[in-house]
Amino acid sequence: MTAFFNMGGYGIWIWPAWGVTLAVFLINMHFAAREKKAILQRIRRFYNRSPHESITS
Amino acid sequence: MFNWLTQYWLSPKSFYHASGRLLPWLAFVCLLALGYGSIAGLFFAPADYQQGDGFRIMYVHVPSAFAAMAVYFLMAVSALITLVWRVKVAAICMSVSARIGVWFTLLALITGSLWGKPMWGTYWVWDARLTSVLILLFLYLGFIALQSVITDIQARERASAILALIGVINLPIIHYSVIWWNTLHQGPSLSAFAQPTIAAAMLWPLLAMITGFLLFFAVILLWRMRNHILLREMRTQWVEALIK
Repeated sequence: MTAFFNMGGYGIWIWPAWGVTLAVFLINMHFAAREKKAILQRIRRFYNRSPHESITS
Repeated sequence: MFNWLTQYWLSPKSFYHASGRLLPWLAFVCLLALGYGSIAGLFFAPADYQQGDGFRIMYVHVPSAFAAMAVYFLMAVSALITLVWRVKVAAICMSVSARIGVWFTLLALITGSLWGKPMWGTYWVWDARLTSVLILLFLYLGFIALQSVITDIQARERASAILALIGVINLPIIHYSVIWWNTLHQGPSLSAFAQPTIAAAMLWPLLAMITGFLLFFAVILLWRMRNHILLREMRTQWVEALIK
C-alpha cells in the first residue's frame, strides 16, 4: 500500500497533480450549483414582488 | 433550414428543454469514462521505461491541456455565430465556455509544472509550449475581464466575441510549438494522422480521460448555460410557468 502511494518516488508529484484536478472539478460543480440557486432565487423574487405583464415567448 | 435551426433548436426555450433531457446521460457516460480512466491509469497501466511512474501525471495533464484548447475553439465558433447571426444561445455558450476553459488552462499549467519538476528539474521554463499556453490563460482572463467592464449586453457580447476570434491565432501556435521550436516539452503522444507513440495499455486510459474531461466540460457548460438562459428569459411566459 505504501509502495503504491510512493509510486517509485514520484508519488509526491503524482498525487498533488491528481488532487488539484479533483479540486478543479469540484469547484466547477460547486460554481454551477451555486449559480443555479442564485438565479432561481432572483427570478422567484422578481415574480413575487411585482404584478407584471409577461412577454409571450 | 437555417431558420428552423435558429428559431426552433437554437431558441433559448427549446435549447433549455433539449439540454435538460441530454444532461443526465452525459453525466453518466462522463462518470464511466473518468472512473475507468483513473483506475486503469493509476493502477493498471505499466510504468514508463524512462519516466517510471512519473508519467501517470499525463492522465490529468494531457486531457486538461486538450480541453483548454478545445473549449477555446468552441468559444471562438460561438463568437463567430454571435457576431454574424446574433444567436442568443451562442452568446451564452461563448461566455460560459470562457469561465470553464480558464480552469482547464490553469489545471494544465499546474499539472504540467508538477510533471516538469521531477522530469526536467524545474517547475517552469520560458519555452514556446509553456509560454503559448500561458498566453491562452491570459486570453481567457482578458475575455472575462472585458466582459465584466462593459455593462451594455449587446456591446459586451460583440466586443468580447471579437477578442475571442483574434485569440484563435494562438491555437495553432500552441499545437505546433513543440515542432516549430526546439523546446523542453516532449512531442505529442497522440495524433489524428499517425500511429500513437505510446503502448495500448497506456493509451486506452488516456483516451478515456480525454473523453471524460470533454464530457465533464459539456455537463458544466449545459448546466450553466441553462442557468443563464433562465436569467435572460426571466420575463417570458415559459420561464414564469417553469418557476411556479
